Amino acid sequence: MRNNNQAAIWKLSRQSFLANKSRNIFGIIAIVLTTVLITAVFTIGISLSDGMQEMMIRKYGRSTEVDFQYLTEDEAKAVAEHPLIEEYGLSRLITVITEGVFRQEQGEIHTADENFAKFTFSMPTTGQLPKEENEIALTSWILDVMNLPRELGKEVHLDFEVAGTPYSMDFVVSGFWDDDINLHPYGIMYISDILADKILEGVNPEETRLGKGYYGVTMMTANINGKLSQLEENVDTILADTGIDADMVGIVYNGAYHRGNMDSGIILAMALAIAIILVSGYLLIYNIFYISVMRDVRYYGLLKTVGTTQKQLMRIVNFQAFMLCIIAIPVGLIFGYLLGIVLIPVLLGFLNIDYMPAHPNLWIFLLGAALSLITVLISCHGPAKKAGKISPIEAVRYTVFAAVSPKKMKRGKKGARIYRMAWSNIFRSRKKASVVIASLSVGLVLFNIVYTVVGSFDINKFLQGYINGDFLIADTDYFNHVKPYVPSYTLNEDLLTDISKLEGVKNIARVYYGNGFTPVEGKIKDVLKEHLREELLADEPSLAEEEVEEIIEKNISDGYENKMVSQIYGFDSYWLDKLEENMLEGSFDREKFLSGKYILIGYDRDDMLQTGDMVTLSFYDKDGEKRTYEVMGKVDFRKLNSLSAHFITWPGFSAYLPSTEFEKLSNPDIMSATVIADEAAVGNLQKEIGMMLENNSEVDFRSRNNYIEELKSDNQKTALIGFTLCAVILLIGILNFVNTTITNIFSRKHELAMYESIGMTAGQSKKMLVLESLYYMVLTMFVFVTMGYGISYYSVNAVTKNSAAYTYRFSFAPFIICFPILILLACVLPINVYGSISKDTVVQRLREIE
Amino acid sequence: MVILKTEALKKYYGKEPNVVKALDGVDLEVQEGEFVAVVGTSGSGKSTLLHMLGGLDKPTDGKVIVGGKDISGMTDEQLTIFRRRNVGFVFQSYNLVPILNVYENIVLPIELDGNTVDQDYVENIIETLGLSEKKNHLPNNLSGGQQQRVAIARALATKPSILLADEPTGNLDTKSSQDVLGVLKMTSTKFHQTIVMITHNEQIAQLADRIIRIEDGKIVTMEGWI
Repeated sequence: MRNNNQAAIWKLSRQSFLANKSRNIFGIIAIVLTTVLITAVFTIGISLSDGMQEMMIRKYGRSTEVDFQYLTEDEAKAVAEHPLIEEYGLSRLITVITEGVFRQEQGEIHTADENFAKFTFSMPTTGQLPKEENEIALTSWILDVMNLPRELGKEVHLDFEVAGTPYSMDFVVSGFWDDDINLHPYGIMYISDILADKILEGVNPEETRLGKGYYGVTMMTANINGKLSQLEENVDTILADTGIDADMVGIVYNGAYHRGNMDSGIILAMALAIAIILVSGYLLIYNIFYISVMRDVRYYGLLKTVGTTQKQLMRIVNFQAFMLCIIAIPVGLIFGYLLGIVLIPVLLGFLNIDYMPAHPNLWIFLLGAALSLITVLISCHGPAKKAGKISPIEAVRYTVFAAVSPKKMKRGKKGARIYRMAWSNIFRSRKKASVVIASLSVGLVLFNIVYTVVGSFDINKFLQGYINGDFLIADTDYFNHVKPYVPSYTLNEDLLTDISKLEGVKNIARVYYGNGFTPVEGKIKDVLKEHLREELLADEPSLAEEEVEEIIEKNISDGYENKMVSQIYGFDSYWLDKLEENMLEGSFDREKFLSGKYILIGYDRDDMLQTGDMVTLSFYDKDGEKRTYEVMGKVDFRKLNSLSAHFITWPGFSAYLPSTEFEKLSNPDIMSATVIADEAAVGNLQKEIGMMLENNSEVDFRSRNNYIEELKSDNQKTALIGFTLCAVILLIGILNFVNTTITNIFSRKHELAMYESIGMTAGQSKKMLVLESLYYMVLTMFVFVTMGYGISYYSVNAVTKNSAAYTYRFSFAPFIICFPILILLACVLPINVYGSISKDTVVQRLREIE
Repeated sequence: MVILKTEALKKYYGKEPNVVKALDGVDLEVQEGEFVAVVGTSGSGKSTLLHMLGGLDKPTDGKVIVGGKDISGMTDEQLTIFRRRNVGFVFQSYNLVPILNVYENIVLPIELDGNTVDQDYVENIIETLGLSEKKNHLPNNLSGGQQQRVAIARALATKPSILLADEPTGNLDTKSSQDVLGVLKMTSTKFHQTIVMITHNEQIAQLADRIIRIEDGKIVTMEGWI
């Protein structure tokens, strides 16, 4: 039978809610803090995910989902009309330029419609797309390398060739857009359709797209109707419907939309952070309600006596929690979102992602609100049940004294020293005590972990991956770690001689680099074949053994031309110590190595080469003259990262020779030169080398100090985010302690008055209360020292073990930073609270409850 | 010898025109070793009188002299220390410390004062009050009567000048009440302890050497004056 008692329950709930002012304040703060943290983590997580997608989109150079690279105009029309095409942009490729300023980074001449420019982030930011025959729009990067000012109306001269016809033309800049380091390719230029039609007269894309220059092919970049997960099926449908040969048109999907792995990393980190937040939020909210129900035990007992059921009592408690949520969650959502917004630029900047302001995402608020609400309801469940189960008879007789552990006997004649009373007091409610200690510990342990991670950052260890001297001079591209380094021959001896003459330069240590070719034979061949076999069978498991063998043999002879490309480094004698330090196998003999008859092997995934083996190498140089070396041993190539080309090739290996072997070549490539200088001269050299390279766009340099500054600021950013989140969790712990202490002293008002009546002075009472708080802190300290340091040791070690930048460093600092504050709080708070309850006379306080 | 004396003791609560005169000029003398019962209806001021005598509350006017010392001008801190040295309290609700066992409860006031316990004396009290078996028990495992006996033992432990009992049998059944009153009467004789007891029960009051009746903050009669 349904009983219409809503009104009564509501009235009771409202009254109880209004009667518990201080509980409400703590409850609201607790829920706000929990919501703030959850929302901030969601805001950061979702924005980070969006930011990374945005970065990936930029990296792929387009926001659209798919490119049809090599269409004819008719095919383009057919595809464009297909119902599955949501929107599209078109561009025709005129030609590619690889000479002049485009030697490093190729230039591409296209036409483009507005959509294409928009989708590929190449809409002129100044001026407009070309309309007249002599107009051109291009990236600011081209204006820069041509030494032209970034202005409209400037004249640009281009020499190019289309399907065998050379052109030499002058254009007027009608528009340009800012280049972006993430945006590839760099050298895009757009000309008008009028000119394109003239140039492409007689050029047949159907032929050029067969690997013959691709002149005049139409590229369509498009978004497809339907779900991203069905993108490939939809594209297949379009191709099938239009009858276009998929192999011919070169379908390219935008990798930015395949982000499974990256997202799972973010989600995992978010889940972990949120789990910790929920636990600490739960501990606080639970304790607040537990204490509040315990205090109101008589009231709930009374309600039960007059006929309130268990269910109704639970509803009364839950309703109060719900009221707190209505006030606190919106506030928490707003502050959490703002905190997230403040922290995102820091995080995104740290990850080198262009900062995108996070849009107020409905999901952030919905998830934040839902999780907070669930936390509160779970936290309240225990206390609500407790309120529901109160026996009316016991509750009416309940005083704080009853909340004693059910121990019957207590041995000992040592009497009642104050410190012993205090110790006994904190265990009167074990639940309360353990929740407070757990709550404080969570924050502290977390703080310790963040502190240890930040403190374990080893700048020297990290720098070894980048720089081993005071200045590193190399090709501009060498510093762009995104791209693999290819021999550029930009760093020459003349420049290095000039630098060596500068005051304070002690040494210049070169690293030469070149591709070495090794005949595929013997063990090398076996390993390569095995690899190819695996690859082949993974693709087509149905192949017969003879077929496999045949394909592999053909592959090696045709594809690899029976030789394997390896990365060969030439080290100046300055680096020999470094080689010796990092030997993994074999013994290093300096004289033998310098004789030029020996080689050291670095990366060799499949152990193709062993110490004592003979290796034959040839470089393109000197007509591929063959040289044979004996393997002296193996070196840990990972430790030589700062001296490497930042990538590895497979199949192949990397190896080290003395630089004398490179000097024999007619045109050796110096990949990098490290300047070792007098400490006093470093500041001055920074300026002088800078001046020397100022007008050299091909060669750049970094100083040790550049790296140190960069790293320090990165580390500080990690620290900022970590410490902000920790601080809030620590605050939750402290709040728990404060709430427990205040409610504890208030609920013992009568008891304390009784002590006073039999002769305990105010000083002694305060001493007892302070000692109780201190014991909480001592216990927390114990948990912190044992578990906290243990957890941070294992977790930080696990994370940083294989890291190039971290060495676990134990520190007492978190302990020394946190505990004085906590101990101060433990001393000040009880005295203040006691002061506020002892304003009444002893008699009034004694009477209050009776 | 007069151990306890009040002169024109007044205690007013509130402000004009709503002044409540809880005590309105009480003159009282109690001899050493005397067992005095104070009776009166609720609101008559008997509890206030007891609180004044024990230094729990300060008088608006007049004097309270305990063992020759005027306590009406003492500070809170002085009063607390005075209480633990000179006054033993027995409350209606026992007011034992739940975390301490019987023995520890009894010696608490001595230890609060930083003194060493006079073992023989305390053992004597425990023996006399029949608590020997219960020494290691925690208060919540004792019956009401037993708890009140512990409270009395605690009050006696400091060898106070006066023992003040505020409705000591208010929470007890008849049998336990008899028991506790018996103990009080016995301490009065055995330890020559001065006792002032508040009660609203005439029958209980009859056990005392003298009954003081208080109405509207004034002493109306003193019975049994020897």
